[in-house]
Amino acid sequence: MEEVKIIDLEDGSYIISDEIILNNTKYIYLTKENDMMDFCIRKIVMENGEEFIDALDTEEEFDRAMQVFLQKHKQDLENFN
Amino acid sequence: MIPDDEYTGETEEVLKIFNNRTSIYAQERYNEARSKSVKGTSRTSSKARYQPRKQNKPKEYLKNAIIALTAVATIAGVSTLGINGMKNLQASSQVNSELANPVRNNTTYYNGLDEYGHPLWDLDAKGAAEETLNSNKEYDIDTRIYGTYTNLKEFERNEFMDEIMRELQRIVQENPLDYSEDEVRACNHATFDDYLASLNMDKEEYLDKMREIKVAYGRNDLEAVSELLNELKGGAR
Repeated sequence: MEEVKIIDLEDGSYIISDEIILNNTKYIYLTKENDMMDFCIRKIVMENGEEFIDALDTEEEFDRAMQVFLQKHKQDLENFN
Repeated sequence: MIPDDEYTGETEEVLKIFNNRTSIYAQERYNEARSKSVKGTSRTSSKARYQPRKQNKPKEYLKNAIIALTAVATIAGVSTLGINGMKNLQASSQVNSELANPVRNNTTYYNGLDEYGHPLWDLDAKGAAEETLNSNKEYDIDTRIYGTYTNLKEFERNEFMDEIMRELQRIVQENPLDYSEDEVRACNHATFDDYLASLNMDKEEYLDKMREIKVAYGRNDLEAVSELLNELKGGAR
């Protein structure tokens, strides 16, 4: 067994698959608990010293975050056999 | 019997991506992810306090989630990364589906759920051993044993595998003429640890080598299979 972090969005529970900091912003990569191909990205924003999860501003921001994720995990896929 | 996780199920979920799935399907999932992530198109975009909770999941759950996400993006054409890995995944998926049959066909599920909401199940080790020996003959015996081992659920996996090894040993000792020399040698061990010892490998080395063999089978590269099997058994059996 391994311990994972989970957050609840309005449409269900998501596993935090990864966290990546890009341009001083922390992005969290979320995978739906019961469907590994259902995923989304959120970012963490600070307000009054508290952390909030927020949607991304643009599709370009999503694409950038995905590219960084793919670059980071390229080897995972290469090694999967 | 109460399982503590769904390792096999989760792994198969990842592999299913490559079965009967098209790039259009992956593109749809990727576009859904993009829509769900961006303000204005997401139905779940309201800001909320970041309060993750912790939960135990099957071993390699996160790894599989990352692989699934990476694979969807790659199939969708978003990335050219991981092409070699994609081919390996496709090859592994096809082979694993066949090698899983001895466990799949001999696992019985019962009414009722455990405390984690998983169905209750039990494994017929004798049936799994017989099927490991007598089916999937297009694969060598070590690959069939590997397939059975890796498709066992994680709950008491080693104990179940030891039971299967004892059954394998009983079968080949009772009917040695029915089986090849290679099958008799591979199966003539009382425990899975004894089997690994016969290969002069620890479990990690064994799993790494067998993954390579599985991929070689999936690519129908029988020359590579033969070389890898020689490496697996070289100097041992």
